[in-house]
Amino acid sequence: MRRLPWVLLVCGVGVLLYLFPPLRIVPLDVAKQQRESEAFHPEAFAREFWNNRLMASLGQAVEASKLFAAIDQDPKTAKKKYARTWGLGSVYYYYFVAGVGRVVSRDGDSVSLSLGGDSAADITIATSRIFGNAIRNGTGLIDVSDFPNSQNLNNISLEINRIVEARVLPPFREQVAVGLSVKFVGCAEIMDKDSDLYPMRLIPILLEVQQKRGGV
Amino acid sequence: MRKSHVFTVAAALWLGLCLFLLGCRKEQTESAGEAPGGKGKIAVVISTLNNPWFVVLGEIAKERAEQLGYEARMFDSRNDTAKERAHFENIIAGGYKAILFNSTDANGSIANVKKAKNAGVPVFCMDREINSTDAAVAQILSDNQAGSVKLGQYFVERLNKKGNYVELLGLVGDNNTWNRSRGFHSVVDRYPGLNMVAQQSADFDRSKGLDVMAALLQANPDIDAVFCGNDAMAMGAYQALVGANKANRVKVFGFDGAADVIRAIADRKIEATVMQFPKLMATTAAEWADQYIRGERSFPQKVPVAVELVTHDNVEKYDPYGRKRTK
Repeated sequence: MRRLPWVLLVCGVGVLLYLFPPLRIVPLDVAKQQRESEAFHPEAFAREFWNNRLMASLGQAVEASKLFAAIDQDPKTAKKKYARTWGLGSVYYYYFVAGVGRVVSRDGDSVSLSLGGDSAADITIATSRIFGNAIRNGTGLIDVSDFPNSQNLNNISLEINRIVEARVLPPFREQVAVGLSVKFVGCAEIMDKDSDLYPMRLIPILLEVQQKRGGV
Repeated sequence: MRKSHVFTVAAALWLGLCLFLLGCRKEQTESAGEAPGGKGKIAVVISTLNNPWFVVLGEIAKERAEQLGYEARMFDSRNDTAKERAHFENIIAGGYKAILFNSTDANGSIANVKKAKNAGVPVFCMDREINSTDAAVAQILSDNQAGSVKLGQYFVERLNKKGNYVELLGLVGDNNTWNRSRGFHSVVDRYPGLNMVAQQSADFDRSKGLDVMAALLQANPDIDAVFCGNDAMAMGAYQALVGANKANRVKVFGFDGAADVIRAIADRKIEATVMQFPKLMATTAAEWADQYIRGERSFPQKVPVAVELVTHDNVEKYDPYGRKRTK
């Protein structure tokens, strides 16, 4: 009977320790499995994003001729209607664009397309090293708040750019020639409206060379 | 008599422990109530006030909170997570209504933010990220990687795709350090003519930047450029280059948009920096904290703030820490 309070105390402390454990022991192999399952794989994410979400969303791109007509009329209204921004205070914005153009020139870094009948370039397709976040930011399909760590988010851009370099550009570079028509979908980052709209530099998502000469 | 005394002590201890554990959460929530005579208090916790950029961030946040009717106080964590933890404990106990927070460590600071959240004190992160999406109410962060990609492209252009360079990294526990470094290398590493001969941390600190750069110059006298993870280190590196009589041939690149670097770019002493917008981040954090206190609950978890490349060609468009106002 004299021991009862102590027994109660020990039991109470035991219950408290059970409810609020100061530490938890997890087997090493379980911890490793947890870490691996929680690890983010940007390459796999980018591949899945490209194959499924991006390819299914190409129809959301604005028709290039329509976009340029709107920009010619009023760049601010065109921006409000068709552009996407990324975050706060951005002076940069993005266009997700599709269309068909005729190749008017090519060099080691780019291919220039004209949308009309003249020889002036309206679109420049990047065909060398791809940098930046145009596709990640310009398509509006990726939400920054979904990523606890911004390094993961940034690695997605690197992987997307690698996909462009590995899948989109090599067959295009082989087939493209001045005078041919090209069907394109891509994203453009506009940093300065005076220099980036005419021509618009596009990071390509889809490029199809049509084996017929475009009209002049 | 002795038996009943022991029983009473045990029962009291048990009851006390239970009440403490069950009640502390309620007590903390209540302690975050309104300070008498005003809209309450807002804390501004800054990673270090040893860097002018963070001083601007903290002062603007404090000033905006005061304009909104709060009593605001700034806390300097001195890049020390333990000091930061002590600040959070004092803030929670001190009845502050919100924390505008610039963290010392992307992972190490999460526990502090969660502690504040559990005590009912909302936290708004400014510039530095914490690796969690369920602790802070919102995180307003510079898009460091995008800026360093642009800087990397300019670096390649200015070095004409060839040369040796060194890199001064910031705090290794901070995501900004790696977002800047990896963004830069995602471009520069694609050019085989550009060789990084040394990479070392100088903790985002000007005097460490000077010391580290001086040591790196001893070991690598023939470099063409230095990429620094922030402007404080860039100014330190520049001083070291002046001391070694190499300032005219080694190109310095920074990141931040600090006052002395903007002037140095105009004077062609430093090649380029990436302008962040601390005023925008601090003002937004203070305004969102005010909205939260007034009942708003819909905030994006992470908001990138665009950054811009500043070079000699466009430096006239910029003031320290932002763009020049246009009419």
